[in-house]
Amino acid sequence: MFQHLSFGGMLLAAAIVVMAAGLYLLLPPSSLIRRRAGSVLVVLGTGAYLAHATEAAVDAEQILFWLLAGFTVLAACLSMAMPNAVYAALWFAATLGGVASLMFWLGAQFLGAVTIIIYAGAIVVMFLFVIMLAQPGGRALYDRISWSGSAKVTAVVLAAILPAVLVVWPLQDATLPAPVHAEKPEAFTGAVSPDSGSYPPQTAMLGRDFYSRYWVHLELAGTLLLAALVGATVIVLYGRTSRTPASSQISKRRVP
Amino acid sequence: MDRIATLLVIIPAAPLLAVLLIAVTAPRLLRSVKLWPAWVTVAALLVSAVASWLLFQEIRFQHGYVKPQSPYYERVVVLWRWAEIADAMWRVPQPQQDASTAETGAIRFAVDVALRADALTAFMLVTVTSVAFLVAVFSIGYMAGDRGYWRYFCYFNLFVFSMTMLVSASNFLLLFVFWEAVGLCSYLLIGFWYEKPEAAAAGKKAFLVNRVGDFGFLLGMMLIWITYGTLDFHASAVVHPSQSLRQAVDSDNFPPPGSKIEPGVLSRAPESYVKGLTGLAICLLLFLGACGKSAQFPLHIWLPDAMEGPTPVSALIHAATMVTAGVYLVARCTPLFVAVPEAQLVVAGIGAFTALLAALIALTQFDLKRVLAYSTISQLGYMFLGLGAGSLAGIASGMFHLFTHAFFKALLFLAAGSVMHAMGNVIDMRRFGGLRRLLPWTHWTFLVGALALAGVFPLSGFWSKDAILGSVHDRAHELGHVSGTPPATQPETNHAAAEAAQHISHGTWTWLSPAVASRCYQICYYLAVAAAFLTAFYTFRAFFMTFYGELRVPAEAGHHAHESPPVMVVPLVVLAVGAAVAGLLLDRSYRHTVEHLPEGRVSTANAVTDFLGYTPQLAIPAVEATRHAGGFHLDIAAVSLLLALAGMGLAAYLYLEERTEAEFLAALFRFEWYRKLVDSQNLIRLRRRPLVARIESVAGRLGLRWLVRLAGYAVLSVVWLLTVPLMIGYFVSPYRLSADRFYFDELYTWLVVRPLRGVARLLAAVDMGIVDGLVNLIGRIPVWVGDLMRALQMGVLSFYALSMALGLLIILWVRLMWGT
Amino acid sequence: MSEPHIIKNVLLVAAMLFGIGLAGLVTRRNWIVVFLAVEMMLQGVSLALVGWSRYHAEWGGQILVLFIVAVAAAEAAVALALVLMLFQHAASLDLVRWQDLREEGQPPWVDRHVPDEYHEERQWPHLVPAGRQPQPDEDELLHRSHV
Repeated sequence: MFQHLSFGGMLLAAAIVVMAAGLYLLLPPSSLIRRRAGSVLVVLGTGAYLAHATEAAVDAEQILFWLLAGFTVLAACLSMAMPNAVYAALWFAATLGGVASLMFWLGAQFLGAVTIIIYAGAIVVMFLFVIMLAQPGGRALYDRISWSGSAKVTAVVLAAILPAVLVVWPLQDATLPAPVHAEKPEAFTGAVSPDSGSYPPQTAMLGRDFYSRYWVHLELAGTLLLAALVGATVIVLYGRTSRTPASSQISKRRVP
Repeated sequence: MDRIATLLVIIPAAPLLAVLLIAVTAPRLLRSVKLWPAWVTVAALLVSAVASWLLFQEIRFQHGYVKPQSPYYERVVVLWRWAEIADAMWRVPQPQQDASTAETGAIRFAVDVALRADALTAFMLVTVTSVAFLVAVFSIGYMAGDRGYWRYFCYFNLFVFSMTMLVSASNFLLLFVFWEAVGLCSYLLIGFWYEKPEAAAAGKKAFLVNRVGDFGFLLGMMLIWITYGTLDFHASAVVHPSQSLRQAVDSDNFPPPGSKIEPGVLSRAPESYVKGLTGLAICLLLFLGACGKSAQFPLHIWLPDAMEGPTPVSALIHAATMVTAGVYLVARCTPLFVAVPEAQLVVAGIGAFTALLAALIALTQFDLKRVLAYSTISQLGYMFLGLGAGSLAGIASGMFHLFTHAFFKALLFLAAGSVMHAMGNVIDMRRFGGLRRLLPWTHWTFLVGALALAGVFPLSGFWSKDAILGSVHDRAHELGHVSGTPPATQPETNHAAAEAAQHISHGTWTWLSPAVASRCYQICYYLAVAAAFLTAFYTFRAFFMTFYGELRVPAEAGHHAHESPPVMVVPLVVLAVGAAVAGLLLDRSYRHTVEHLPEGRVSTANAVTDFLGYTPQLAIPAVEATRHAGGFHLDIAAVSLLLALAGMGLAAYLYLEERTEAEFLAALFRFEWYRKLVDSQNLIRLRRRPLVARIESVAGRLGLRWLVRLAGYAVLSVVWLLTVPLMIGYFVSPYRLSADRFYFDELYTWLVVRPLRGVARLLAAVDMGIVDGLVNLIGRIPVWVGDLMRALQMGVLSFYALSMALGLLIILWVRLMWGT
Repeated sequence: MSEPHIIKNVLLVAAMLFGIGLAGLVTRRNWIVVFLAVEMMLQGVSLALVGWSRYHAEWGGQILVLFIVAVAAAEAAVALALVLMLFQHAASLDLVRWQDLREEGQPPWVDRHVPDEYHEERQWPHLVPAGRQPQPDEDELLHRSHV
């Protein structure tokens, strides 16, 4: 029965299986051994997936991408795998670094910078603050286990086949739609423009578009941020409804 | 707008404005001004009453001086077009119809808000507004201190507004609207003290019983529209067929040139009225409506219960407004009834029967207001009897009696209200007595009203009641003359009857021979005469029981039983004067002012006949021909007067002093003797009689004791056999029948209410079990599905995320498998 | 590398990030880590958008990413405030604890196999709270108004 399977199909199946196995090992309950084995399997699975999108001639750019992508995916997996929330946040910061580097690789310098500055610089720090406030102990039972084995299996399988379903399968027969090229493509690749002989002012062009076509959206986003600021303040200030220790009332109905 | 139109609008507009004014200002804004609603009401009704009298004078003026040649006068004011449907009905041409009615093609349904002014309307308006004004003045004092003071006057005005609109509407549909409005107002006023369960039940009963009659009216109206193609009373001029411009009917410039006349229902050529079964059905259905509103047998049961309302309301409903609506309707529809004489006979028969029935019931009632209520039913029966006589004099006498009755019955009710006021709302005549010293004004005015009701010369009731009796008598004679069996009467009456007989009615007797009809009218006449006797008796029974004998005051009255305040006494006096002289004035005075009438228009009839004779519906030839028929009959007047005096005498003999004869009569009519007859104790006592004992001993000596014993057993068995009728007879003895109102309420309870309730229960069970059950079943399906889905709501957030992701996956899968 | 291959590569990585975030979202029980997972999924989406932006040479994709960043910041602020409140109520960051909000009549979810702590995980690092160790005061613990 296997003779009907093409090489690509077998590769895809291998990617799914390896990826799923790696994720299964990584997600809680986790241990050092499982994390190491899972990391290896995830990296292998990533490679198997990326093999589907590889040209015959592998250039340096491609190799760089492999390295960056492998790091990003591995960091993401470890971020989800770490039982300690502090480590999870730190690995998430690493993921953000990987994503930012992928953005740089794509030529989107401004967004790469924004990702690092805002995400890694602000949001992750906020996460860490909250961890410090809420979980100073850094260890808890619920970090070590999942809530349901079958749900974990389902989720892992789902995560493993998602690249196949979303990308590989739709694109294996069909060709991609032709690019629209609303602007000059040089501005997006980060390459030197053949017209002017210099790097195109990418951030300036983005800002021009941002503040002209999208100024209403910009205002809305600003309003949203203001509302979130006020909302977060109000929640923290007035959110507490009862003065009795909260743990005593919520957990009453729990069956031990 | 000319004078008549202005007056016609002012008369209903004043009470309507008062309604709005009171409803807006009285509950909150001017609550501190206690008498505000009363004064608004009195002012509005005064305006209305003065306008009515002015209108009355205008119409008289039109009759006498402006258009002496015209046989009738009417004026229609079309305020606005209410509703219109262009192709409401498609009539199939019928070959037997003549040209005037054989319209083919689409028939327009158009209803105007049209008011009319003619003699009948003016007459009714004067009656209604005058009495209502006086009752309103009385109410100021009577209702003082009531929690619903403003509510009372608001309803009161609404009532008067509805009634004035009812009598001035020139359209069956508009009339029906206010017919219903009157019913609504009666419901509101009878149930005015709605905290009292009896009052609420009485209001409901009045409303529902009226609804039966209204259903008949509605059916009759539909039948009229199907038959005649319009609902207007008046003819209207259609200038152009497509645009239905209608011109107000005025004798001067009607119709406008170049227009086509569309006859109304009640203004057609006499021969174009539908006879036969359709005509009879229309008449009887309309009469059913009138029966409901005017409390005639078999729909009379609501009226006595309506006494639960405030007493001025009783006076208003029973004297001036509501109950006269049925009389007015039948009088207004005279052309329809003339076409079908059998319908008139039914009207007369029901009227006479109701008159006697209600009088019999009134004999044994102990509730003062109930006596008056039954006398109202009885007097309304008289009115219908007069209307049923069919001649101009008969119809006019019915209206005449309506007018006089409005005065003396309002007077009697208000006087009864005054008694109640003094007695602390006790109305049972057995609990008070000898009030003539305590309530002198009430006593004298009640006496005037009672004399008028009894029909004693020369008070108003005498004239109007005799006009009715005379017209019925004449009618019987005319019919007897037609059938060739002339009854023996005075020659001049005979002559008039013969003259009238030549014209007599376009409606020919279809189902009955005139001889039979004549017999029926004679029976009606004798029933009415008997009722006249009973009327005098029960009226004075109530009068003597209330005002004579030794002074007795119930405990509820307290120590301050006193005469009513002047604001209540003055209307009583005014009404007493009216009740005393109205008949005399109307019977005689007007006759001399119309000498300049065209030749042949002066009649021996009374003033009301002459005045109402100008009503278009009464000026039709069939009625006009009988103008000479009704006159004052000395013999009839003498008979009824003697009977009335006899009834009064009997009442005085029985009730003026404490006498045992009344008890004896009651026992007699209770069949007490019969009970004695079948009492087995009497049999034992019989045996102890010396004569019987001697017979027994002699028979024993002769060895025939067994014979005596056999005879004894025979007597005993007869007694036992008679016991069965005793059981029945105890319940149906005349006294019990009268006291228990002939068991009509019980009869309706068992024949109508209970079966209907059973059907309603059944339908409710079907509705709740099957119809609602299906709906509930459908409604339960989501609950079942939801129960299934509840298991998914397990509260773990990650599970929801997972299901979302799975759903996303399914969507993607479907998209990839079957998408493009 | 040709543009179609670039976009394919980027999309694959984006889908993997998204999937990993999804798996973490479903399996993890710590509120904070769950929010990290959500942010992870957003990162996948952002990456895909940047890839498409380059492919079509269109700024809209990158601008949308900027908006995603803004929304993520707002969301993180509000969500973390909420997490703090939840923690104050339940004295735990366990997401399953809030299953008390489930539909009435449903049986509760109970952890069946609670594993022991692994030996090598004993020495966990943790963030030391700043300042000196406060003296635990019962009344203060009961009535503390801010955290």
